[in-house]
Amino acid sequence: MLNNYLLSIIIFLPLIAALVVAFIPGKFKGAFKYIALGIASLQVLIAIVLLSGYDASYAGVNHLNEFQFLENVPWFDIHLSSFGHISADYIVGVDGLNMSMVLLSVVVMLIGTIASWNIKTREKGYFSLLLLLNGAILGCFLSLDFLLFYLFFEFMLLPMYFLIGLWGGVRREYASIKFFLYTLFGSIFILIAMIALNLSVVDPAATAVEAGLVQEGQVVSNEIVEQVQQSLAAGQLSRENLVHTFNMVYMTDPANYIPGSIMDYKVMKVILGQEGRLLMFLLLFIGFAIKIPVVPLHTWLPDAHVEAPTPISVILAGVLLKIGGYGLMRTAFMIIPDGVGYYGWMMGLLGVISIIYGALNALGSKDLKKMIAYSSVSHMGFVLLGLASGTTEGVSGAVYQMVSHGVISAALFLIVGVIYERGHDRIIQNYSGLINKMPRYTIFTVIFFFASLGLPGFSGFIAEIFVLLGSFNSSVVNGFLPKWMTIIAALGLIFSAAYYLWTIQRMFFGKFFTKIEVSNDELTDLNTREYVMLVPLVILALLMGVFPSFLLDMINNSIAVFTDVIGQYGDIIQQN
Amino acid sequence: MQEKLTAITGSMGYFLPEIAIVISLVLLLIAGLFNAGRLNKLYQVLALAFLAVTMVLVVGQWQEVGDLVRPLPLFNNMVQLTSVSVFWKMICVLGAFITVAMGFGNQDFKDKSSEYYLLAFGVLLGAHLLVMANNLLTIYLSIELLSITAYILTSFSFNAASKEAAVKYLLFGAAASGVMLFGMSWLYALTGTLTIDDVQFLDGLIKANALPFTLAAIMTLAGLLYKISAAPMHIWAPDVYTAAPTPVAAYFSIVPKLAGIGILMKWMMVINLFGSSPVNWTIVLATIAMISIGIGNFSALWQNNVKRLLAYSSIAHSGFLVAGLVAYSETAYKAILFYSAIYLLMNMAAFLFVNHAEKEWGYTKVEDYKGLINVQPLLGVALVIVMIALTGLPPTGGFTGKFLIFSALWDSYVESGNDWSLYLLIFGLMNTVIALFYYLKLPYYIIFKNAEQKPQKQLIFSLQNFIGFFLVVMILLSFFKPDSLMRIINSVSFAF
Repeated sequence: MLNNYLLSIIIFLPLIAALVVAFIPGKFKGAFKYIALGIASLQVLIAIVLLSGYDASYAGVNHLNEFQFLENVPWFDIHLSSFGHISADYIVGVDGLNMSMVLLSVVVMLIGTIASWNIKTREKGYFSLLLLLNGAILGCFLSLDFLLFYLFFEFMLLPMYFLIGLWGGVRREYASIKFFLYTLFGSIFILIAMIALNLSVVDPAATAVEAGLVQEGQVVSNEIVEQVQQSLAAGQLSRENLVHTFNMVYMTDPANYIPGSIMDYKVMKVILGQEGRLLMFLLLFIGFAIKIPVVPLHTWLPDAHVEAPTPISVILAGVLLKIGGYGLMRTAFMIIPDGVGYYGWMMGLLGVISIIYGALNALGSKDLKKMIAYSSVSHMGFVLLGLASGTTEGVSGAVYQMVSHGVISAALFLIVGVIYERGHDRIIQNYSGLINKMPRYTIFTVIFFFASLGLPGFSGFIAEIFVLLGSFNSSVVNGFLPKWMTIIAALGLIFSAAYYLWTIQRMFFGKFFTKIEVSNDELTDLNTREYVMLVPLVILALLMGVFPSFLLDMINNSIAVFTDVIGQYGDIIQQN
Repeated sequence: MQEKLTAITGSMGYFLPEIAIVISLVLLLIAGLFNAGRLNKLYQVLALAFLAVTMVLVVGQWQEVGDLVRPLPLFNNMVQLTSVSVFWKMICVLGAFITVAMGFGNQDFKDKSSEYYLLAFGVLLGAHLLVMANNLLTIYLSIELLSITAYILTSFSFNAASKEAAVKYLLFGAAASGVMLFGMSWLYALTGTLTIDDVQFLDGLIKANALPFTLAAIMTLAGLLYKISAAPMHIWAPDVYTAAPTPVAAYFSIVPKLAGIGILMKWMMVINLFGSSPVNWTIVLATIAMISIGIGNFSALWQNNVKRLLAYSSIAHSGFLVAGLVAYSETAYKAILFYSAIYLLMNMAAFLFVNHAEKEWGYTKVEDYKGLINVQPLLGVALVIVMIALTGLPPTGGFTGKFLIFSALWDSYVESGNDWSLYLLIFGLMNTVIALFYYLKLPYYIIFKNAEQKPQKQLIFSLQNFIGFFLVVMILLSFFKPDSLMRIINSVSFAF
């Protein structure tokens, strides 16, 4: 019984807990972090149950009945006379595209909650916002209805805005408003595309009920759905009976598009000199590219990271950036696959630029946290490159990179947090020879730096190799990306080796000294709480590096469908 | 003569809410003769009771018009009873009710209390007549009724600023209605009738020369734009909103504006002449909408006074309502009704809380709200939600309202290839980001800044705040369950 509502529970548990925390009197402030921790642990347990019940042989992606743990409840249905109905549903479900993201987010959220242990000001606000953020993130990954997705996507902004703006560093207010405005600007683009999609796509089952083909409450058979789709294509349905839907899975089916609408497959509508579908792809791409972030839309990220408190940086890098990549896959790539071939070259180029530009910036950063932030830009560039290739290897690599980067960057920001907490300074040059003072800390740092630069045996290696393979193959398989992009992207690996090794050399090796006012006994080695956070992440990064099949088996079927859909349109474009 | 008399007596039955308003007005006038000053409470209770009665009558009318197929002409077609007009009347009475409740318990108007309420009823009567009007003369008269009472209400702060604002309002208003009257006289000259849904009127306009028709229609439009404070006729709004008592400002931002939108919707249908108009009105309206949204949002960026900020925000909202007129379809008109209802909720909620802060703690500037969340968390959170709703972000009804308007614009672009709809859509969406910048100002001060002097912790449970919180809940509900509001709107029919 409870099994049917697992996804709702995992989303709404933190949201309800946030309300509870908000209404508990302030004198029990010691309890807030335990509530948050309890919820995050419960979510991990639920995720394990999900994983054990998850059957990787179902692909999902563009078939609603292949989604698992699916909950599909009507949300609202507005009838607008001659325009037809606008309906939204509460649909959550998992497939190969979002299962790994859910696992990643519950783990990172748990780590982020433990990292919040040292928050000493306004605990009530902090933990209720953290829980709100938690619920919104999971809602975002699990929603299969565009409006629901958009709701959670926007809803993430507010807690994040306050978390950075209230508990952040010196320039926190500037950083938080910049983050908010950038992301909101991006979500406006997504909104335009969402409205266009809603105007163009019908829910065949609900339309069948409206058109009187089936009685209300009856199960709509596949034949009826096909019949509706045929009469839709023939223009036989009255406009008044059309039920416009936000269902992202219905949006992947060309048969559900209204002939003559903005997003129609057959007769491309030209808007502002560009074909409507392609323009919408571009809008969705810009919206999510800000979130990933892709150069040149990345400038909010270094600011937000540098100013955010450690746990928020962990969550931001570990999970929030992935919503950009995941959103791109679920919406732009799957709903408008014809755009992938058209913009593939541009996206690949932007990915390569992000890789190189991010790496060069990291190389030039004086602030350790800024360096890690730019390395995120660089590594997320691989996600975009992999996706743009449209090949199975590339897309698998992109998903793998998202999970791997989620784990590794979370750990990297924790590592920055450790030194900042002790020395109250993050400038690389101000430290030297830390290995003498903090040997265990140095070991963990070195492990994660190597994991991040793509050392074989760690998850990052698998991901980047797959991406490079996929993008190299792309010129043969579908012709989206030229070979030189792969070669330049590979250069990024060398740069990242450079900045990581240089940092290790400067900060950790050599004779111990600091240029900051800090007493010797303040620079203590890792404590138990920090071990609790870092050790699981090391294990995860290693496991994913040594046994890639665990994650790949989970996503393979879905990625195969994903690339098939893109490939079909790639062929069409190559023929033209 | 006999015929006319029977028409008038026959119409009376459909005129009950308006009759109730007139009777209330007269009763308040009589009550005001007795020992003013000390009977404030009584007047307030009376006003609320009268409004409740009016509301009941309007709702009764709503059920009555349910089976109306065609508009019901009253008083020789001077006014018409339609489902749309009853919808607007419900909105207006609700707005008036909240306004009166907002001033409940206050002693601001001293011995002028009864006058205040009877003037408020005057505005309401004007609004009722305006949304039902079917004749240029009725339009003009009801706008005058609405305006003249509004001029006096503006001066009810009894200070120099409020008198100045009232005079400004009066001068602008006089000029605008003068222009409108001039336009109407041309329309009469062109058609020979004042009844706007008359065949003769439409025929005359179709046959008329394009130039005089355009000029006359634009001049008439100017008077209506003035009432909804849309650019370029918006200049009075910031001064009036700032100087007038806060409940009055709230009242002006809802009742005259939405009644104006109501008649504008009808007016656009008339001057579109069923598509045979020589003028492309969408360009005119799209320009007006863009300027309103632009001026409203950009000017609001620099405001420190909360009421002034809300004034500019209401100008921008007028722009969005006019954007619905640009889309010009049944869908768009229903989207306007939806948006208006949500606008009532969110603007009233904003003014209720602002009024509370002004009365209790003397807050007028944005900076005054510093650190409110630490002292009054509930009020702080409610204000943040209202501001998010005004910006148009989920999960609030403000988002759903904007979403429907934008959908209508998209649809109009796709269906009729109207490029201006697309430009307006893009412009409106981009403006949401700008709007966020100033709407976030208040939450920013409420949450991010620490107050030097904190207002005392005190109970905030008053009738006003109760209504405010109720409205906030409705704002959230209208996002999660928009179908219930839409079902009400769907019983309205338009003659497209």
